[in-house]
Amino acid sequence: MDENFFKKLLATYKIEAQEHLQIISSGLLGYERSSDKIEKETIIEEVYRAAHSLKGASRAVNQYEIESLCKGLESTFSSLKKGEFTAGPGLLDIILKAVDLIDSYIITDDEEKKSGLKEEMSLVENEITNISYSGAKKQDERSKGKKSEGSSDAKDKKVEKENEGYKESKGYEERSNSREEQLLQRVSDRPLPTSDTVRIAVSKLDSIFLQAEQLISIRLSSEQTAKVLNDLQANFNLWKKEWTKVNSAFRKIKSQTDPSKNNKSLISFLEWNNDFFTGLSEKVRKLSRDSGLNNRQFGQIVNELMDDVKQVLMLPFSSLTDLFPKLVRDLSRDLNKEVELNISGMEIQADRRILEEMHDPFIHLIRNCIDHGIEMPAERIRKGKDQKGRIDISVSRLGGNKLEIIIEDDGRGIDSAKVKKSAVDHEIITEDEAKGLQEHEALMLIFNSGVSTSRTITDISGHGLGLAIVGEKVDKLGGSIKVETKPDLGTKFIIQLPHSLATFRGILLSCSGRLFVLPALNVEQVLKIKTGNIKTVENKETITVNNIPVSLVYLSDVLELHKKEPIYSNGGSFINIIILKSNEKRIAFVVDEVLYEQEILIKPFNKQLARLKNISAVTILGDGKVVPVLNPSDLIRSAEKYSASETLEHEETIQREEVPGSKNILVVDDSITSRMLLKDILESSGYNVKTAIDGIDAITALKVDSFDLVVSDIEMPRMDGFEFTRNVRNEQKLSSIPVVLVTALSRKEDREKGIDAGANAYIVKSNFDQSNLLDTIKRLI
Amino acid sequence: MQKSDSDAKENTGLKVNLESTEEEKRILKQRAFQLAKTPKRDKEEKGKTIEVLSFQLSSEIYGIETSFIKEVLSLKEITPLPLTPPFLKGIMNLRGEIVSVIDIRTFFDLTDSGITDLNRVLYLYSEDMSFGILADKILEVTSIQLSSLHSQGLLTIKGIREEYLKGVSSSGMIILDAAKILADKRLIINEEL
Repeated sequence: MDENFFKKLLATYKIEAQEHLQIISSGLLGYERSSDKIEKETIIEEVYRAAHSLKGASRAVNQYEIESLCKGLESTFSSLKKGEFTAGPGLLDIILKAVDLIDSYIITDDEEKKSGLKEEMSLVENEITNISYSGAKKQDERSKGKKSEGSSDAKDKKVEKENEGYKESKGYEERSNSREEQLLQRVSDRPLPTSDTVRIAVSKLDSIFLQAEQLISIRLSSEQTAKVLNDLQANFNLWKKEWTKVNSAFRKIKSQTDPSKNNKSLISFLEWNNDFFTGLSEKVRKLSRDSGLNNRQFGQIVNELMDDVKQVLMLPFSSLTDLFPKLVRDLSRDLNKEVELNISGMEIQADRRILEEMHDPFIHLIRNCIDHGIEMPAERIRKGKDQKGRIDISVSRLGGNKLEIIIEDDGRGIDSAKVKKSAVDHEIITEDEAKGLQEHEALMLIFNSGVSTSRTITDISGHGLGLAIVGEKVDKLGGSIKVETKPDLGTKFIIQLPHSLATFRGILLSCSGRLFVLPALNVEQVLKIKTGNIKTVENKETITVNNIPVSLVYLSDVLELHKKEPIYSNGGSFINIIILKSNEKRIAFVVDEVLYEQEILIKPFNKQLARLKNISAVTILGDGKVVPVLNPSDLIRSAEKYSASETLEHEETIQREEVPGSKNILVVDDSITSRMLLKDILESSGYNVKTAIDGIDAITALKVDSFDLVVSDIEMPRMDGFEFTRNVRNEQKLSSIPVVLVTALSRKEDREKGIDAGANAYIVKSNFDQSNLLDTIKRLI
Repeated sequence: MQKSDSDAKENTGLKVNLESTEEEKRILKQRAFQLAKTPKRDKEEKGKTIEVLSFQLSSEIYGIETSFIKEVLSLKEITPLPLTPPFLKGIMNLRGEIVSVIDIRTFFDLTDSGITDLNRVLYLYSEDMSFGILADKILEVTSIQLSSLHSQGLLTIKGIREEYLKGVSSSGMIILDAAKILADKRLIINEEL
């Protein structure tokens, strides 16, 4: 047989088989729970069919081991159907085990593992036959020979019947040309669940999605082009206006001038020039108009396409939660607990990638509920609760692009004292910090790696890792998580998630000359504040927003970027602030500028960049620029760490400052680099430094604050260093302030000019080194 | 029942037939292939050549096997990422794909000596890793006999850790072992806060 075809067929078989297995396992769980006879019958019919189809499919792809096991399952179900015996938990367990085995057998490609599974499968097969056989026997004995045939006879009959079916299809086979065709026929013979659905490989959908996503960056760049053309048109309009102004003059000259040779060529050039530009301007106008039009249409199409593609990628939560009943059953059985699982809202759809990401977190949370939450039946009875524990999972849609998932148990609840103790033991917080924590703050600690309230570590949970993973995943998806708990009443995990991924709103900002994006979802507020409103509490800078104090940190400090002088808006005292919120924590970050908010297309990093501090991904702007996307929860944690370490630093500098005394120095320079350099040198020597950008600015500053010394550049706009020095000397109040001129002008005349103006010292930049300047200053003050 | 049994036999019989002809074909092909080979394998091994792209970085000339080079890019705009190790120069946009760019000198702990004019990026790839490395200038693609490479000796002078080297060519070109560099876990940045 064509190998490729067989491979394809096998792939199809895998998908099909897993569906059948899913039907069997969920069916059996329903069977066990149900007490309604008719419902049970329907279920048995369903699982019987699934086993039968799986048997046929397995045979078609030469999976004889699976076929044989399915045969056993099929005859058991058939006996159940006929009411020859009823299934107890023992039989159901074995059947579920068989389903698990088949599932692992199908998934694995490892031959060694396969042969191991093969053995197990044949054991399970024997067990199933035995149980159903003896079960049937007992039933038979009880019905005192009402039926003359035992189940083994029935089985034989069944097999015979099955073979007849096989014969029939053989007959068909003979007529068909090849085995391949026949196999195809088998697969396509199965009626599709509904006629208007198709099955598409996820990888194909992903590729379509990526391509559609790529269109977004093209759209953004097309927007950019349209804007450039628009600007160009504005330029031409300006040219036109200027031309119109001189046009009459030009015509006058033209009419007056004797068409002699000298001017003729110039005039005709100007005329040609005018025509040429007018033509060009017209072309640009059209181009700009067309581009704008195209851009709008393109944008609309891309948006619609993206919406549709996102729709295609949506799956109901049931695709995830269908696995849970079995998980809960298995886990609770292992732990000898009784647990009832209730799931609601499973029809709600979410992006497939979100569901995939949430798979592990869900399992961790459910394990937690069963292992830590729900008590042993005896303990529950003692507490006056129903001996059967409950886990409720519900999904609901909130406004906007948000979903809420609640996982709730009615167990013993989380003991926040234990959480605190574990966190202290793991050195996540100090004992003092633990004392100051509010109840809900303490509970959030369980999302730290290593924190666990379980005294015993089982293979199910207790490692303290599960909830850390949950927290991390939820973060990554741009969601949030909360815990509520009441002793002996239960625990409730509330998770909020976006229901689609891909694009989101981001806020573009600049910090230390670099661009960054923050997810708008986490930005609570963007504001400008007066530097005077910053208060220092215990050496930590805070601001008060809506009457709530928020600690304030420079983004450049957290990212360890070279700090630029904060950009003060006119008047000099406003700074830009973004208040970030993540997991119930808020911190204000000082940034250089907040540029705009726009739709952002998230690009994941390549494999080399597995995980970065404070940066979660990147985005590509319309002009092709790559911009890092900041990770809000990382940032908040970094900021907390930073401000803790900074407090210490502050204390150190305060001690150091006592030596030279807190002298105030004003640095005047028009170049930001020199200004920063000087400021840095002086501050590290313990002076208080303020800056001004030119002479006029400096005069104003001197009037507002009192300074012990001024360090000034000479060449500056508006008012240079010489003039500034003269002004200082002429001002009675300021005349005694020492002025140090620092300049690139090393000529003797300049030096004399400086001294004439009244400067106390004159330092040439070419031989400018720190000690020279510092020595000079020390001598003067 | 009997009928279906015989059917099955017939069917397997047919399969065996079909397979045996394919088997025959395979054997014949293999034989033909064997015959077509030059008889002396020894010589072949010795004369094995690799195709190498040579490039200049600082004052050194390096070579990397072309089979590990996906593309040579010109370095237009690179976005540095804060809080990353110094060997990571940043990331760039290659037609919508994010490419991380590494300075191998920093990674090798070489002091960057000489004037450099970083304007090319060699985009290296293997099955499960890909990134770009900086270069000043792309020189040429040459074939180099593996046997002509000297090992060690010179290398310690150049200061590169031995593990990343394939050898030094007769012209003094340092041939880097791209497979090893690509597989080096130390280059993967995986930092928890």
